[in-house]
Amino acid sequence: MTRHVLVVDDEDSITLSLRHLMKREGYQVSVARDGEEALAAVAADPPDLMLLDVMIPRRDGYDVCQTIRANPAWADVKIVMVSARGRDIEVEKGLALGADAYVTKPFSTRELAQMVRDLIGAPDA
Amino acid sequence: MPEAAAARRAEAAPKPRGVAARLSLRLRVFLFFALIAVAVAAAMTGVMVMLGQRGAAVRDLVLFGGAAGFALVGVVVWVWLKFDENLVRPVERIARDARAAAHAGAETLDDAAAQYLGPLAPAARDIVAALAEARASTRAAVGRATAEAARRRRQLETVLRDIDQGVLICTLDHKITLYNPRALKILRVSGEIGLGRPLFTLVTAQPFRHALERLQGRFADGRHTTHRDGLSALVVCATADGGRTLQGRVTLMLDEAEAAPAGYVVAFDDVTATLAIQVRRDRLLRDATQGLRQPVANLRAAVEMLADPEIDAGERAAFEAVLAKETESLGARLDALEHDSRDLLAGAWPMSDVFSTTLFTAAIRRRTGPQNFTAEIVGQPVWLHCDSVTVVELLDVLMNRIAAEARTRTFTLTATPREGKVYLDLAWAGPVIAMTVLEGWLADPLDPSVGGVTGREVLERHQTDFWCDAHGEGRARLRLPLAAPVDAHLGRPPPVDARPEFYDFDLMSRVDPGRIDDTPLRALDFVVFDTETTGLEPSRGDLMISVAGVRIVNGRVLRGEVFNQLINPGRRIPAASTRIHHIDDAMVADAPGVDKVLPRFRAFTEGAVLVAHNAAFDMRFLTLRQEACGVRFDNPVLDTVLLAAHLDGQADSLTLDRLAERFAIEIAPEDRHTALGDSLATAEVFLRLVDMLEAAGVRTLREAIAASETAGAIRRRQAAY
Repeated sequence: MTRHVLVVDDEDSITLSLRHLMKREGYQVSVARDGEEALAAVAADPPDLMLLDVMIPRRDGYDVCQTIRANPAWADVKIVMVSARGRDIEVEKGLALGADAYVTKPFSTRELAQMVRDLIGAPDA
Repeated sequence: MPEAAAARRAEAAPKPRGVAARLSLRLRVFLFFALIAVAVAAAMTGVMVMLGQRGAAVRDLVLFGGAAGFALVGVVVWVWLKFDENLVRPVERIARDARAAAHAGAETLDDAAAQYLGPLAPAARDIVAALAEARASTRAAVGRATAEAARRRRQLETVLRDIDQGVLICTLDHKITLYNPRALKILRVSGEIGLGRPLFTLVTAQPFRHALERLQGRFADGRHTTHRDGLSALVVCATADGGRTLQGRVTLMLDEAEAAPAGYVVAFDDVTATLAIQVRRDRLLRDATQGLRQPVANLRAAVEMLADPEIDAGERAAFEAVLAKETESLGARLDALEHDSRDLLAGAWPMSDVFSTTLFTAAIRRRTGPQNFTAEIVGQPVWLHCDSVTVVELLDVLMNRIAAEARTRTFTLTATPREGKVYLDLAWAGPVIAMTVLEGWLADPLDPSVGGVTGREVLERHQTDFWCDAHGEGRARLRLPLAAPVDAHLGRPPPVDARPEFYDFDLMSRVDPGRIDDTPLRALDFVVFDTETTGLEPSRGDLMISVAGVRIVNGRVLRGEVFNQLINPGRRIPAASTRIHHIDDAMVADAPGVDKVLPRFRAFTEGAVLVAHNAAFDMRFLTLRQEACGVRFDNPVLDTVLLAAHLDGQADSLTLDRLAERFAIEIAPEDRHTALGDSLATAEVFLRLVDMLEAAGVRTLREAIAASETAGAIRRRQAAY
């Protein structure tokens, strides 16, 4: 079964690039534009990995992360926080709330693709 | 004042009125009775002579007349004796006692033999008693007033000591008459601060001169009553060594009549660090705005080129390479800016180091909410850096809300230091609280007593955030990272240089001495000093190994302003001399050489007369090396040995021990033969000598030097015998 990546961000510019990147890598990609949409998407079809922005409307990234981690059924969902907020405290908070990794924008797409591969393996494994 | 009262009494005494008034009362009374006796005898003789001339028998006359005469004279003598004993002498005694009470403060009256004087003795006794009582109550009132004034003075001194700004008061010719501990701390890196010393050895002069010129002009024109700043002006200057920047206010001080300037007050802060941060911040802002224009320009140009459909594949690849390179470089620049701004963003809100136990206890005690809960402080307490007022409020609000939300009644509070931060953990048995709920709480304002600020604003202020996670079985924890303490709190703070004398307002009214020779000794500044040396022969290679001095200003030994320095002589110290002053090679090994110490000592003695015991000896050591060190000791010099010799002749031994003993000055044995101990003892001896010299008619420096020279000449002649 193809690995599924959920991209959560409200900025069109970045979702365009991320969707293209993940599709090129061979993953199945879906997009959510705010916190509620993201949680609904996870409830409907839990992804293998989420690229989760922090500053999104209607329940921010921290909230979404904490909610997902609180549900044991979704323990296998890997969460990579991708955010323009790069202060130490924000990274620490993200990781403390259960994110598997935290990437500060701007980032190298190649490094991000590598990180995704390290976390969930190749698209079809 | 007793002198004035005595003068008034002397004036009120009756002027002598001739011979009769200059004789004592007893003598006058005696003469009076003698006159009666003589008159009686003369009358008797006259009567007998007359009766004899009228034919009475001479023998009878002589017999009866003589007998009657003797009897009468005897009666007169007896009356005189009684008069003398019971009236005159008691009167004299009462007069003497009354005079003693009036002039010498006696408090009783001997009226034993005065019973015949009627109401005089009791009246005199009443007067003396009333006088004694009046004096006692005056003394008590003066004592109370003095104690009250001393108490007020101590309160003001405390204010000056504890104030966070440096405060200086100076005379119009820029000599320091007051400085507080903070000023001492800020300025002492720049030089020696002390009473009566010039300000401009410590700070740059021109900013002050300019400010004072403006202020004096403002005062002279009378504009200070309408000027917004009144008699004060801003001043920014540097310390004399250029190391630190100071900012403060200069305020002109007027004399008592408010008619003329008498001096000025400076209140200042060390702004070196603040200014440096300001400069960095400005640079950062500039880099973040202007500095990014270039990369963005590169990007935009390349992007616009790529929009052109006519370019070929090679050119397309080149522009795409530019895009990749510039975006990467922009990213790197952003990282660098963020990194540089990390320390700068910390400083905006005033914060302080606080002990975690203090913080937690205050939060527990705050109890603004209705919830009933207990909290226990667990783990090792640590220091942290925050705005304790708002953090306490936040913790209290959180405990209340969590108690309601998670339905828990007990909390544990812990503070854990890790990787440059301190984590405050609030833990409880119960469910984790969702971030949305926490965010909701943060949006509400805290207690109005902290100004209605919201929890979110408190977190922003501290450049931090918090979160809630699970912490063990069925337990949850709220974690709040805060900053590590700024100062290292290791046990007792370093001892502060306690300077008991830090002001002397008499210096304000000190008139420019003009010719120093004619200034009274009392008004001069002195440096009383002493040296310890490797031996007694300066011309044969003996050198100084210790020099100490203490300043006397306005007749006071300033024990807080001493100079005490060991000197490395660059040669071995003979064991014989070590036995005397207990300084050995090991002690001077780390000491600076004389080329560093002599200039500093010269600066210490600036403007003062040098005093030493056996001054010629010590001066020889100073002057021998002065040229090599680039200084000149051209101060006037006084020798306590010669001054003492002038006063008390040449017989007694004039060693420091003997003089100290004579003046009852104590020198602890361990201080004797140390440069500092000897300097302090000599200083006390010198002050006593100044008193005695004044009584002996030696008042000015010129007179003291002349007296010393005569005494010196005598001593040399004596030594020659």
